[in-house]
Amino acid sequence: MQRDLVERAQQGDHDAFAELAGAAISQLTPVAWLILRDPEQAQDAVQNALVRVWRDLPTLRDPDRFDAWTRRLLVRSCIDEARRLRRHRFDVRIDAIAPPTVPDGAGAIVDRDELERAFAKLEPEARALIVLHHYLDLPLPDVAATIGIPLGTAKSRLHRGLREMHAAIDADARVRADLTEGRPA
Amino acid sequence: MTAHDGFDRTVTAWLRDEAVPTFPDQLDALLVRTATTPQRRWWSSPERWLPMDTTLRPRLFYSPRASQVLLVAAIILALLGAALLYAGTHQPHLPAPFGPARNGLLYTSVDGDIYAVDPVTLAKHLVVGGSTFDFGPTFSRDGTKLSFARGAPSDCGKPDCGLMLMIANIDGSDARPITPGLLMLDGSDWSPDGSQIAIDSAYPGRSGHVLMIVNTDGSGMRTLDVGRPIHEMSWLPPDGKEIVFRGEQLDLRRDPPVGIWAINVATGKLRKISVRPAHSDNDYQCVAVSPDGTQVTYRDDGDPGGFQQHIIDLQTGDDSILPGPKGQFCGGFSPDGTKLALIRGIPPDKFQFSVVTLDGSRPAIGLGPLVGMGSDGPSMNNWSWTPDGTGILANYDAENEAMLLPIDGSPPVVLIHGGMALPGEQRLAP
Repeated sequence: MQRDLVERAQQGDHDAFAELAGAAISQLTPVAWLILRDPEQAQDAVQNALVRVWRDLPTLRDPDRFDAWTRRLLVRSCIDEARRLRRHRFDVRIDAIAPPTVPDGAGAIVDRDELERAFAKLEPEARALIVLHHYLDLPLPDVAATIGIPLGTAKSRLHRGLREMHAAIDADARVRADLTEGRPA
Repeated sequence: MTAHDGFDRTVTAWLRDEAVPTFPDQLDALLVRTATTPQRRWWSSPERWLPMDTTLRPRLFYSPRASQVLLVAAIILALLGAALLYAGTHQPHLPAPFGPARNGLLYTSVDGDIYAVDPVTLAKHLVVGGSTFDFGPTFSRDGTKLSFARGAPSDCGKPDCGLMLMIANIDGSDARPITPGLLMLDGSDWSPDGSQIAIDSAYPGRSGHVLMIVNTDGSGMRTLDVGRPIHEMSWLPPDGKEIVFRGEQLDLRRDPPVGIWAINVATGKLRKISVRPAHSDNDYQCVAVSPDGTQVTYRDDGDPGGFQQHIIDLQTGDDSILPGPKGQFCGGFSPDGTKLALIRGIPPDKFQFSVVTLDGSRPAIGLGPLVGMGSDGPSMNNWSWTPDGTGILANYDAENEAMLLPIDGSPPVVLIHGGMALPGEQRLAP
């Protein structure tokens, strides 16, 4: 069914593309939002990716890989948006993250704000990796193919991204504890 | 359960809570934009510049009278005799089909026309022009013929009528199609004797490509079906009896794991070249053969830690990894077989050509600009060595340029600027 739609859209059938795009938007928008954390940027990224999907669809060699190809264009679009955004903002120095020293317990107690702050500190590529694997449930080989990196690199970057998030949350917790106890942060 | 598992689950749960549904009017806004956005032609990505389908060229038959047959036969015999006499006294000196040769004419396509370009003065003159869209000039191995792709006339009743593979004299004259307008032709390779061109074209009813052989006299084409999709084919030196190709695994249920094979063009007999099991369906890519036909090179699937270039010795079956840092891939042998040109990844997202000596006698050198991604992979693609092995000719997709990169460290030369800028150079006898 989808292959038929893709092949029709490759031949210039805009109605077929509309059907594909309608389905794709509902899958891509949450991904873009999670990576970019900005509704306007997310909408722009999705729209730019899907315009490119329409424009370049005839060059897609294998119609059965439409979903993976679309995700790949979206991730690239998100990274482009993130870099564009960064160029238009003041750089904020982020100090090196100390390694976690507190035994884990975070699974149960970290709150959303802490997760949000820790996630926001990651590079867009690392955020994309985490979203593809932990939100979309994509197997790591598919995540690697989507980002365009070898599987081993994807594994190590995913591990490092989560470790950095964890470390940032622990650092937050230490600062809060210090403030609670009256010590200067 | 580990502490890390717990944090993984926390992140997963948080992401799912955070995900928002679509924004209102998103689809409408998109469709307004796409309604006025033209689609690229499928062949307009240099990454896949020659697609077509497997329809055999229809042959026209008629029944001539006996007197006509005799007359034509007599004329042909007379012409043949004259040609043999001429050839006996004026035998041109042609290059061997593989190995180093002297550089000849340098052609490049740009924006649908084909030009001859002087790599020193950059003066150019039109070879194939007009209203047709022509690109991808490729010389026969003896340097006496030219092939290229042409957008087929748009009278097939479909939005895209595909491409025709064209053949012409060196000066662009007598250009004629040797295939009908076809979809999904991704590459071509001249046979050693110039009588045939191997192409990979769409697999009927399936994803991917089949291997096809086109007769350069325009007498037809045939499929060498190996029962699975193939890609990256090249005639195996020195005799060209076999064609080496990558067997693809596009349908995980039907296709066997990826690997490298050779097929005997006359008998269809298959021979496996790759020696170790594939790590994944991304393994065994960028297949290329050495000029003496004793080695095949490919890149692996990059795990762990980055792509590595391999070389298979066809005599011993040994599969060795090219020494050097990971992240080098898609190598091509120099005409004398002593060097490999590769693309090297430069973190985080740049690429550059690199040339290495196979015996490790000299350090690798970087060539040309650092570039990013093109339409489907690194910006540089459709590249080749110059016949004399002193440079690399490359299309830079995202930059819309054809460049000559001397390997002696001289500055790169931008040959031409424009869309589908694909260069090719004639081989002459040394």
